[in-house]
Amino acid sequence: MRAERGERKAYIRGLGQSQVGRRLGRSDLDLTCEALVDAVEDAGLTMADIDGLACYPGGGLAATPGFTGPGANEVQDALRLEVDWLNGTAEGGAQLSTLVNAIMAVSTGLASNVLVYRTVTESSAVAGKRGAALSTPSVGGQMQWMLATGAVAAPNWFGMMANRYMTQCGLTREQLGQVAVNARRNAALNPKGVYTDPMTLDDYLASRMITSPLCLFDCDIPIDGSTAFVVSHVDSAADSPKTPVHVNAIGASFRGRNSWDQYPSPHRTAVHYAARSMWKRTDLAPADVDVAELYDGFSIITLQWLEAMGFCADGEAGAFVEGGKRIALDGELPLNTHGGQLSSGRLHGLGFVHEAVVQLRGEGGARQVPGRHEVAVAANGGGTHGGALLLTAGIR
Amino acid sequence: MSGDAATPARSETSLEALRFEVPEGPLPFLEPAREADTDFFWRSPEDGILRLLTCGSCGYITHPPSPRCGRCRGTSVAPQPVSGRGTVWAWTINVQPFIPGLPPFCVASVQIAEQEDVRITAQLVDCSSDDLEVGMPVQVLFGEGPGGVRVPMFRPVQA
Repeated sequence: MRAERGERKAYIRGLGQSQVGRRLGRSDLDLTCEALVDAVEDAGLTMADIDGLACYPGGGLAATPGFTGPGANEVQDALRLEVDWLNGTAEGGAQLSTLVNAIMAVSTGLASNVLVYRTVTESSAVAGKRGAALSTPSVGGQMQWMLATGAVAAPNWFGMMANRYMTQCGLTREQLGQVAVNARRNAALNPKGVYTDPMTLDDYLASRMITSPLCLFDCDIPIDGSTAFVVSHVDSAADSPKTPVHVNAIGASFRGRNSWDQYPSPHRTAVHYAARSMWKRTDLAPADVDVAELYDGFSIITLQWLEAMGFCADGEAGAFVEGGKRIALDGELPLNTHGGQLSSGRLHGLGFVHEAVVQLRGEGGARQVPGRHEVAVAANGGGTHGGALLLTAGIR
Repeated sequence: MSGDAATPARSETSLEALRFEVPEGPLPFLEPAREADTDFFWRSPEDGILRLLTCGSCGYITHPPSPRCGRCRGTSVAPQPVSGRGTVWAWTINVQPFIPGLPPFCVASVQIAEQEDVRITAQLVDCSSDDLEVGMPVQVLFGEGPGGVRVPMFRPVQA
């Protein structure tokens, strides 16, 4: 007998987002409060209805400047929230772990309306500075094997992953570039898009190299912004002023080598296991997906998610995106419809969930996918961490 | 693939014929923290020998080092010399000045000769960007990092 799918007791009722952009010069708490107030209003609730609060990665973490946003305690105090459950966490299904926690809190009855947020101010924090990777005097744990030996920044780690992928599978830069070109095309239709100037594949190929084979446009953009949700119990779905977006399945498994340099192949990193475990928790299948919002901190990660999700076989993601038509808004699998992090900025994971909800509600405006929009997949993370979420509207 | 790649992409040209010398002086990377399980890797006396954590019970090499064998989960693990030979599993040429002032350099993931599932991330030196190839045989050498730690690097050798 199949176990109960507890995540189906939760739905996304409210959606909020602060101002988003480069070097806004506003505090992380300020942006967070804006997004949270926005989400509560969108949900048709008041702050008095909120009885849970969750965020990624939580306060008190030693991290690069602008990465963490305010901790949950700080936000609880700032908004004078009265909550029965509160959590900030950095580990789990990538940035999605905070949504997973909120969903679990709702499904276990710890809370009935949980505010969830992810806030970054990485653009303001690094303005005019370089060498952020060297901001600490020494490095321990998992990071020492990269940072102390010359792989000094995350682009290096994914540069090696992309190099291995290209060698194993014959992926070309022309194929990889479609992820970036597609993102740019969609960002131009997003009022909150950050880089919206038209970009051709030739522009992509001519851009400066960061760490081969990844060029400037393979790497996402640090920005400032906050994304927020209200996760509620399905018992209240009939009262939701906006289309309830149901949580159909969570994917958060971890298997194999959870390491930046010991993974056995580019097809067996954390993203693979997260995606596969998501499909085990649902009767839906990849062919049912109307829109895909797949993490693109680096373009190569999106190709890995396409394979992990089963939209194509291992090693065939390059051919899948070639020419770009299939992943365009009017294509067979509209991908990263808001412009992804590559062109709409590193809201760090939860921006993809935000966009999935926008699309399922039919609120995408100029970037709304045509036709049916009932099933969306959102994926976060790459390398050592991955989380996946299957969302539905109109069906459950 | 799109196009026949008759001409290389423009941005590729700047990566041609780059020379990656053996660095002179201390390497500008972060100092590894002092940790009981990993200290031997960074702070063994400089004798040119690569040591990895090896299980006295089952012979499995566990990397990164851990208090437990990654295969049998036993505790009889200890640093043992390995050949220092390996093959390049993946590489990248870093161009962006994440560390200000550094010229482009090459970082690789090197699979050690003794065990397929052990790789060491390190600079590739004493070679040219034109030589780089997945599967290329390499041999360890050590550079000096901050705090006097010994940092593995690799250079090409004949198969």
